[in-house]
Amino acid sequence: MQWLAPETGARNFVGRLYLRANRALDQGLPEDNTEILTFEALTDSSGDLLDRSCRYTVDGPGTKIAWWSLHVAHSGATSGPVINPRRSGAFAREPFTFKIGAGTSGKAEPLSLVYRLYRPDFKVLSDISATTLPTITKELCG
Amino acid sequence: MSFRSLDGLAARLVQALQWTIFVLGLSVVFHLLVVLAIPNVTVMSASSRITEAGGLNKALHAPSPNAEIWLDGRLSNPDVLTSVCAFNLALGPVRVSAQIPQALWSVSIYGDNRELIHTLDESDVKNGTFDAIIAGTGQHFPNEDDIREIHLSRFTGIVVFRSIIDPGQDIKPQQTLNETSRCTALNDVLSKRH
Repeated sequence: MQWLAPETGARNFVGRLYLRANRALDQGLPEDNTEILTFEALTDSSGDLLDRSCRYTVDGPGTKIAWWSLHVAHSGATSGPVINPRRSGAFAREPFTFKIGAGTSGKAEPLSLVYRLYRPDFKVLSDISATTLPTITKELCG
Repeated sequence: MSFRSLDGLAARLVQALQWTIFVLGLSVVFHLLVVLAIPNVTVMSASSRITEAGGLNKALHAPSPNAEIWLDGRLSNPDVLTSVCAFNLALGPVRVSAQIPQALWSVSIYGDNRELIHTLDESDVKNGTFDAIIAGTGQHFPNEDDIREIHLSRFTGIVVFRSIIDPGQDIKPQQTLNETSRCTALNDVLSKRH
């Protein structure tokens, strides 16, 4: 699976137990899904772990939801994002494409991509697993 | 090798096997207990940091979006400005209020087990301000202003005020919710009034 769903997305009790513990460590207190729906990708479309020294193309879907955001976070770090798409004008309802990762030689470092939908509508909440999420395609590695 | 020494060896093997199964079983139980406890420990740890920094039933305001310093988490949300307060209803009900900003906002109440107990919404807003009293189940108190009452079965937890901001814009006008968010022990409100 490329994107980790919110905690309610786990299919069974044991899955929910581990996802809850994992998110408690990663996310602190969970956001209310009706307010903020958070997905995290740790791997690219081919299933390889995201690596900061690689370069990726992120193709996002169009969305009817007025507010959404996409951020890059360093796995294992408590620092904030390295990219905020709204600053580069990518904050819109239309499909979008942008690049992440250095694509230069260097130490492999885990990376994750966080996609948030604000105030998702009932249709999205009724089947979270059916949400159309961005695709992450690896271009090159340093 | 005599039958007696073979018997002794078999007995030792059985004993070793029993110990191995016992230790493995114990490890599995310990592992599950740790996995179960992690959410509670994270909230307890956040609660104690908030209380140390500002005291119980007092709102603390993060100065910038990436400063969720009281809420551990690698995935802190850079679009959200946060205020928090740790409450203990054993000391009495707590009044929670704030002015509502123009942008998206949410106020969530979490129990000490990290469960999201309640999210305040537009129905809790009057004249651009939301106002609610959170109290423990079975707690009775005067409610002269007819404020929305939220009764919780968990007596300790955290209230989180979140407002969505645009990091590309001036942050000052976007701090309405955080600057006006308040948690006040109801006893203090009543004693000031009477």
